[in-house]
Amino acid sequence: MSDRDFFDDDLDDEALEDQRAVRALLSSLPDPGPVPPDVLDRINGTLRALQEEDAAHAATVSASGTGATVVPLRRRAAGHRALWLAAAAAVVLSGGGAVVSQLGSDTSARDTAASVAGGSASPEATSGAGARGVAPAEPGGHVYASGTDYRRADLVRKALALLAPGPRPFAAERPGAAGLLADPTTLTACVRAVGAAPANLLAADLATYEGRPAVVLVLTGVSGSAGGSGREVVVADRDCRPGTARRLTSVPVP
Amino acid sequence: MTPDDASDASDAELLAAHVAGDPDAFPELVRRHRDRLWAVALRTLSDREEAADALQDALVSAYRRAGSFRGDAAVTTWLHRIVVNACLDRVRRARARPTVPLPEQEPASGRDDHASTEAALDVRAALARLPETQRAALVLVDMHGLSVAEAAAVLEVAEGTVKSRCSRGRATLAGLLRPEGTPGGPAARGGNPAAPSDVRPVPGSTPGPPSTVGSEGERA
Repeated sequence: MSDRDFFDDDLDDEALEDQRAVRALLSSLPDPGPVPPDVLDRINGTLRALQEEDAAHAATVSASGTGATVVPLRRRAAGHRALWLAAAAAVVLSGGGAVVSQLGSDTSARDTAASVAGGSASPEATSGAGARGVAPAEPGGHVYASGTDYRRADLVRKALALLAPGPRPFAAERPGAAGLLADPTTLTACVRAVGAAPANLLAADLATYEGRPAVVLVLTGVSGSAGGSGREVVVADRDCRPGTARRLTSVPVP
Repeated sequence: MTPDDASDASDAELLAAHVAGDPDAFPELVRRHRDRLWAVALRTLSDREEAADALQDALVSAYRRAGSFRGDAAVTTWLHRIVVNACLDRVRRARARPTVPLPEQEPASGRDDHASTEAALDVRAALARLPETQRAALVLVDMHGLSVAEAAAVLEVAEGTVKSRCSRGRATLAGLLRPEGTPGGPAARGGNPAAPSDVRPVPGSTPGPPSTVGSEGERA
């Protein structure tokens, strides 16, 4: 293969030499090197979570005794699956038999979540009887779809309750409304859009604020917090994404 | 498939094993190709965090979509395609957001040659100004050593389109890297046409490893 194979045929000599010079320059740039350790850890963690999710699903389908063919999650329709479906599969039904809210639109995930009581595929996902949550958002934090109606007066108290173990009042969340939380990339983008680092997310709750659909974020690592705790509760519009994210309110945690 | 078996298997065999439920197969596939995929993402996006996000998105996508791989291209081509698409998606989403431009970050190279670092930054800054389609073509062809045919397979466009994108991208880079007031192109000022004096290559650097994209049956 001659190098002319890399260039348009209609270049004059001077233009061809410019093209060669730039190509040589680009090829001379140093290799960026291997994947950095922190990036590698993150990727490996994500892939492990995917495998655990698949294994949990396979085990659940097998335990159902239906004899149905186990289909790994990855063979479903394209699109990101919530990384925490494995934990959703371990949701404990509340004593009142409230409908288990599901993440994403996959019905088998709903069936899986409804058929398992007790236990947890992810130690971080559940805390205490009646607690319902999903596996930590990437890179950290608990994610809920409680449907709680937060008010200004009780915002901090209720938001901090997300961090504590023990039963919490959960309500059914309409399927599909959890789209924000179903996609870790979207949730990460939301956290950044409100000016925070994803690593500082302690908890997120898909809920309402003063009757308005919202996402409540509990963040740490906040400098200059009035209360000195370094934490802050931020409420954003439910349509929280870069470019449209809007803080409805933010309150420092004493 | 044991880890030893995994290390001996071809990429296509690993992907098939992964689809069949082998937990060791996909990690081995990632281990083999992650560094080159990282380099593609980093060079295309010029931002470490964006590249990390894009690479993660791409690998998750590959994990989930492995069953859709039809075998009409090499596994490495398929992986490169997914990474490039993840990068281009990020660029387009970033463009749609009213944000400040992403900062350019120099990957840690261990070099303490200030001049070479400056030159590399100049080139990367210039690359970042290209349309993402031209940038992706140049990253694959000029920086990663893919043939035009291989790059066309990754980008799922015609070979003529790859050549055209590269040509326009190089022409733009030549103009961006040309010192102000200097007439003509980089080669017109004499000297080594492969290393024009006004466009400084990184001294002592070596080109990246030859591409293995498109090689079927490749083994570790």
